[in-house]
Amino acid sequence: MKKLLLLFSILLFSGFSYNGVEYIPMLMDRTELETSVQLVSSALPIRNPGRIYIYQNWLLLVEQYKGIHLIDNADPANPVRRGFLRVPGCQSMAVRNGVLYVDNAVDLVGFQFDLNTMQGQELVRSRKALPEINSPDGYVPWEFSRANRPANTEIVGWINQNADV
Amino acid sequence: MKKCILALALTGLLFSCDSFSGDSSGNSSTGTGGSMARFACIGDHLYVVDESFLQTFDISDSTKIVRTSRIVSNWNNSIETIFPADSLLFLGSTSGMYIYNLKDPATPKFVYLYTHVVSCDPVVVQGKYAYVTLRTEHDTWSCNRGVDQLEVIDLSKINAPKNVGTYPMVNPRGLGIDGNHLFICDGMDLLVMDATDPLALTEIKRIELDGTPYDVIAKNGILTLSYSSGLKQYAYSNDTIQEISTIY
Repeated sequence: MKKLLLLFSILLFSGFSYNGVEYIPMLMDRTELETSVQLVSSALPIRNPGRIYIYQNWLLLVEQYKGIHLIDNADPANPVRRGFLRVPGCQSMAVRNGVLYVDNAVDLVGFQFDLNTMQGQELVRSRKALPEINSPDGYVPWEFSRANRPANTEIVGWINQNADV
Repeated sequence: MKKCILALALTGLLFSCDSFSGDSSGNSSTGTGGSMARFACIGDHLYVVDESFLQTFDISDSTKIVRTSRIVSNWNNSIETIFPADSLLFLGSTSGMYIYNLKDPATPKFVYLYTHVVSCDPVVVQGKYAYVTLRTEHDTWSCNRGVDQLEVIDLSKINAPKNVGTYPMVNPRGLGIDGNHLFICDGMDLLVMDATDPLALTEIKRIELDGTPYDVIAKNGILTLSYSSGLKQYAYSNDTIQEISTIY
């Protein structure tokens, strides 16, 4: 019985430590975060696609933690990637009256854009309106908790250390 | 109670006409999200779900974001998806499907929690039926005790939703419904089901993909699908579904 318990605790412990090193966060300085939402007029390749959103003739596709692909979908048989909105920490989005609301890590940002000219500007930012981006396995290494990591930094994504990048 | 049924019946009518997926609005122009959405714009408000809250923001003035409500969920219950359907919000969580009403759009009010075993579950609604996929996820703490299945839930009595169908799945994620077509991201496949009779769904086709599907939006005969390799679109009509584009 004792052996079983020991074996169990070893398994449990090794499980925990494995999880502990599996994902590490990407950090960004707050001042950098607040100027990080930028339109990039050239299209980028799709690497880690996430949620999708349809707005008029446009498809918006989340690039996990990186931003949003802006895809001209006037002809669904021939969609064209027109540009990319860089949004560190991005996972979700919605649009109202030409203003895109997006999670820039813990900040909720409203970004006004004209997709036809690929021009845009940040209109509004609600700081720390959202909780921190949780690690994919739910485990946050203690050294990266808000209290322990460098001051004025935010988590803008997680990297799987064991995966090929 | 009668009012609830009437509201649902009206909801059904509205849905049969146009957009039943994603966002609805009055005068404002909003878009359509998929079933995995965490943000939804309805009228003057933005609804956001995350691990701990359902938050409501007044965005009527585009230069301001004003929080009007913040609802804290149970510690062990993470809210994952939001699906607006007319005057109701359907929230997928690890422990069940929450229903909130938007009689006061600034402050959603709890209506019902339809519970099930611990799983991750997006939800879509069409007419008086909700379609929920439950998924196990072995590499997270929150969903690793669940099951993999599709449930159909009768919403005729909004205060007493009832399971009217359960279908085994491989490992389902996002889903979308448009008329008689129900689309489910399942394992490495796009599963197309005939939902003509919500009480007896039948499989039309299983389309194998070169990656894992994540989210779908089915709208006006076009299915948009995000999957691990990129974005695909399909055209569908009564008895055909055809891939029309892929971008990487």
